[in-house]
Amino acid sequence: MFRTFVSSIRWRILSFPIFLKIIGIGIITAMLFGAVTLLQTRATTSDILYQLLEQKTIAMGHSLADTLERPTSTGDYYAISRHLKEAQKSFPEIRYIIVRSHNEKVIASTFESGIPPDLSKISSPLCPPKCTAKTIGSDEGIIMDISTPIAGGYVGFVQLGVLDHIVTRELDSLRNRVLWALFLCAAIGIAYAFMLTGILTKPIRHLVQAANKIREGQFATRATVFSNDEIGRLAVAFNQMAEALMQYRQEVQAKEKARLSLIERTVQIQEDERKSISRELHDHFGQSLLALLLQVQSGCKYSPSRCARAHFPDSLCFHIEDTIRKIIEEVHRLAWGMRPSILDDYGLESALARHIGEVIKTARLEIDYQFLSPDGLKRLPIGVEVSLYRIAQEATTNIIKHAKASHASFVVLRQIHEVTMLIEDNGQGFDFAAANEKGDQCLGLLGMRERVNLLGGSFVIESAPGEGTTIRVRIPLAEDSNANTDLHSG
Amino acid sequence: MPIRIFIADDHAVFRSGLKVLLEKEADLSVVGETGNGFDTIRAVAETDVDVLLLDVAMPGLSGARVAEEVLKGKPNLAIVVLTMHEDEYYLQEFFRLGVRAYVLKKSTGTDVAQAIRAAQKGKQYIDPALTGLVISSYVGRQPTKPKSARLDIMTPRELEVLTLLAYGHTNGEIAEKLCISERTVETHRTNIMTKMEFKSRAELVRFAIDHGMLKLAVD
Repeated sequence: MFRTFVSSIRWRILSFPIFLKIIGIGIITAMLFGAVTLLQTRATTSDILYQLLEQKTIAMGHSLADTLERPTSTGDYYAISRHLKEAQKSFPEIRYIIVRSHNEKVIASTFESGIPPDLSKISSPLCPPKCTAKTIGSDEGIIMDISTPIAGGYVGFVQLGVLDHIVTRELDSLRNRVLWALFLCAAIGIAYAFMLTGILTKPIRHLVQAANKIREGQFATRATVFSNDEIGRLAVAFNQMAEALMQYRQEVQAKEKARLSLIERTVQIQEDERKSISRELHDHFGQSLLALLLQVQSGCKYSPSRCARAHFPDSLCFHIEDTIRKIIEEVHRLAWGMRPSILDDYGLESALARHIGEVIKTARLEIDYQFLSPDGLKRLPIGVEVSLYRIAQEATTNIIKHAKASHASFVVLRQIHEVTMLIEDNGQGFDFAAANEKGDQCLGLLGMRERVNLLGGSFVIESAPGEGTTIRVRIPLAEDSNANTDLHSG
Repeated sequence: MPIRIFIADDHAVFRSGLKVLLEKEADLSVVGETGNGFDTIRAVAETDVDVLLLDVAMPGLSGARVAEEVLKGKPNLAIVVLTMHEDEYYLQEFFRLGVRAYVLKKSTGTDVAQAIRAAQKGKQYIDPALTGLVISSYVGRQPTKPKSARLDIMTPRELEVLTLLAYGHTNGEIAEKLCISERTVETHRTNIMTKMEFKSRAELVRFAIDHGMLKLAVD
């Protein structure tokens, strides 16, 4: 509890700007220094001043005793009171003077309405022999009280009380001067801190700006090196890092470019090979088999010789014919899987319709299919069609293998500048992040994404466990997308 | 007089096999053969033929183009397409061009003679192996019941979400666009699907197109 409190305070202090920190250090130092100085000076000065006041009080006591010797001994009260008034006038710090006879009876005093009870007796030490003033606290301040015997105490005593106002005034003015000096120092300190922080933080601010620019992608940004101190060295290190980063990025970009073109080539080669193998199977291998079938048929049906017929009974004929038909169908299926000729000949709309038709036949899945295109548009570029078809194939495989869906929907929206394909199922969905880690299912997704990337499109997948999966592919179309409108290429 | 047949197919072995087979029928006679599209157009124009047996995939010019060209010169020529493609799209295209018969190569032995005779008499003929395909595509395309006049049961927000969904936006993007949470989008979506009885996104998109919420038109 306490620890967290301390650490939160610490954190708050640490998050102040450097300017405030430096000023804070300055002001706290100045205040500590000022306070110590003030206390120390005040203590010394007040000691000295009180000593001086005491000495002055003693001296005044003596001189008053001398002055009052005669009138007291003669009983000239008028002269006594005149002397008292003069003394008070000449030194206004005198709070009171009490003149007593030798038997300590009050003869005269500066009190007009009687002497306060605590002064009714001589309480202060006599000087001589003991010349130390007694200090009395009062509402008006500290009073230095001293009693001096007149003519050795034979005639009487004079008691003198002097206020310390003069001392406190001096001390106050001393304090004020010290405070003023302190304020001045603080003001200079703030200005100084301001300048200092400016000097110190300017390179840091530049560094931050440079770092931000680099983050925004302006990798050529370099920080200015203002000095050769620690911050200057930081700037140098920063620049070296930026340089390395730029090189690294260029390398990565070059590699990425190479990777993309490699993928593009791979995809292209794969598609070309599939196409040619498909055609080869379909046209040549398939045709040869058909020719074989024809030969068998003509051999069987029209062989006139009974002898030949004996070697070639009808049942065997049908058997051979049947086998050849099966092989032909097999070859067709293979060729179709490689690359459906319908995609090249009739385009994506028909190819997808056919593909979905096949899926509905074989898998327990309801599929809604919409291909929406405004009238009068050319066919999509063949590259786009092939990619979308392959993505749809992959997505279908995923839906059948993993999604456990009962319903799926395929939508292709053809617009002038882009084509969008939406594939959605109501299956169990999946956690995209988790799938990323597993990598198994993701290889297919990665393949789809790469294909879309190659065409400069976007690939979005939205899925959560239990909420089905939506795949959206969007591919931009060039203004003059010269679609291959030729049917039957070969 | 036997029916004069011209064979156009790039595969020589197949051609000769077919020729042998056809020559055995008394009423059929092969009068010529070619191995590519251009030769076919020229040869058919110069020869008197009743029936052209035409392969779909030939080097030079595709079967469809050959059929088009040949029919320009001889509109009444009976063309029998011989093909490997068991597909309604090919079938549709060729019949649209005006060929009379469509026969799969794998059933050549049994059906081609029949197809030739039918075509020569001016009848149309489709390989029996393809009738299933033709019927299913005919039966399968029931006109869907138009879902109309139910727009009023949707809130303006739901209509907004519907339009965005139709344009192919994901839940996340819709949430961002409308400044609402993804959960809320999901709720709107569920409501839309139930209210409108959509079974799929595809149906939703179709509906949006039919009701002008989604415009694909060319400027």
